[in-house]
Amino acid sequence: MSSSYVAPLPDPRLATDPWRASTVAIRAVRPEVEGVSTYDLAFQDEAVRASYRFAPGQFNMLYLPGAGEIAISISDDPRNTATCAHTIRVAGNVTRTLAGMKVGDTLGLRGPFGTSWPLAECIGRDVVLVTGGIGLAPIRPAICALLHQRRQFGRLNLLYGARSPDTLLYAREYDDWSERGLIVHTTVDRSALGWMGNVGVVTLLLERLRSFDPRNTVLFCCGPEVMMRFTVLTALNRGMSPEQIWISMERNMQCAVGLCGHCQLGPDFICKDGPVFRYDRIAPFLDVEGL
Amino acid sequence: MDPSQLRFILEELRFSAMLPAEVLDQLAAASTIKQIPAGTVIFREGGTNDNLYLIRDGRLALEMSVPGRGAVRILTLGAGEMVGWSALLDEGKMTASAIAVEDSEVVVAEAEKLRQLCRANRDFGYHLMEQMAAALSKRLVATRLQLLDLFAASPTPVPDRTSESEA
Ligand SMILES: Cc1cc2nc3c(=O)[nH]c(=O)nc-3n(C[C@H](O)[C@H](O)[C@H](O)COP(=O)(O)OP(=O)(O)OC[C@H]3O[C@@H](n4cnc5c(N)ncnc54)[C@H](O)[C@@H]3O)c2cc1C
Repeated sequence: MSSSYVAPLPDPRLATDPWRASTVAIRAVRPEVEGVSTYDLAFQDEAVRASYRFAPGQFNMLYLPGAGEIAISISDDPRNTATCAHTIRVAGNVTRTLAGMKVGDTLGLRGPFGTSWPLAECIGRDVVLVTGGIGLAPIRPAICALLHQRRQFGRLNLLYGARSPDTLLYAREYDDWSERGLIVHTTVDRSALGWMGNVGVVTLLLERLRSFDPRNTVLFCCGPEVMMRFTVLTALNRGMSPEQIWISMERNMQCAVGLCGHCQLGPDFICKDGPVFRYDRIAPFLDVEGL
Repeated sequence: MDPSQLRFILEELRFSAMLPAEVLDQLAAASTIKQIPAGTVIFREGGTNDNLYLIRDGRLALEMSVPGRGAVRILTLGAGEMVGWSALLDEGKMTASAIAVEDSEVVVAEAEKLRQLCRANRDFGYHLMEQMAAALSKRLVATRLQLLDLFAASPTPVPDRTSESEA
């Protein structure tokens, strides 16, 4: 097997003490769309920087003294070892505090945690990535990994929905992704003057996808849960089986190591058994409210 | 285009692919194929339209006018999808405008012919209306999801059920 991405890493979760936070400094802040920025974080300790590895789909716990700790997916190319990007939307107290910080400020980071996208399963098969809103952030490392080893995979389609044209995340990267062999389809819920692209929910893109071979496709999905539910329904209607569908659950969590029970979903803990789950494993619990 | 070619085209479109053979034959006999250049207005909101359109290639947009906002694009439709259902169900009073976003190719079926076929042959009517209901139901679900505004900037706060029950 030729790849360090499709068969990655010893288990990164075992590599570090999960309770120990490392200090990271903000190297750069890139405003993406309204209320969302990408933060490049650099480990202060050279030894930690050198040993830190993550697999696409995993997340870190970011600790802001005086504000709290939050789970954030890693949105970087897994080959990037200098810094580690996190794309973050302002939601409440901690994320607002982070938005007030500037380049050079430091915070704590624990991780990486959780399961990753099953890239090894994709070898020789088509891959459809269905995502909406900020859900593109945890998919981005998978895109980087798939494109890095483009020839190992069949057709690669990204189906991405956003609220409006000005909230399409990472829009500056679509041309590069397309040139490297990812077919990028975008759609928006609300059109704007001059927008010539698709209007309508992202599930419609899956409905319309041509050259689709349901038996030889792996689907990754990340976005609001309602969107994921309807994406799965559409995929099943188009002939895929539950074992070919993977979703990332990003419900609220606290400890990140399966102890506090905050993110328990049936027998699983999102933090340690997820966030990436094969659909058949999580299906019975998808409708559980209020976690 | 002769009906056998049209039938072949209809067989490949998502809207009509599941129709039984004889229904496909009848639909093909009632249809023609048409090229629509980008920018063409196919029908206007509030106006009348006599045809049902099935998109073979290209993209059409549905727009509704909102005072103060002009024409608001609410949905784009692509290959295999149906446009102009009001012509069949509602005597052609259109609820939105349809515009070709790209050069497009559509199968055009005259609504009055389809209505006659539905009345004369209940089997044809059942199968056509079944496809129509399935397509409209998908569109309804999609519209609901659009309404939920799932990607809104701030997550909708969970309602406080205690204070609700107290009120
Ligand atoms: C595995 C995982 C990965 C994540 N990755 C990212 C990411 O890459 N980028 C990013 O911006 N966010 C991500 N999140 C969500 C992020 O953790 C929360 O937005 C954050 O904890 C909010 O903290 P806060 O103190 O700013 O807001 P709070 O004051 O805690 O919450 C503000 C509002 O956001 C809602 N909220 C909080 N957490 C979530 C959640 N997980 N899902 C839905 N609504 C929530 C609350 O109900 C409340 O209405 C991820 C969550 C998980 C579990």
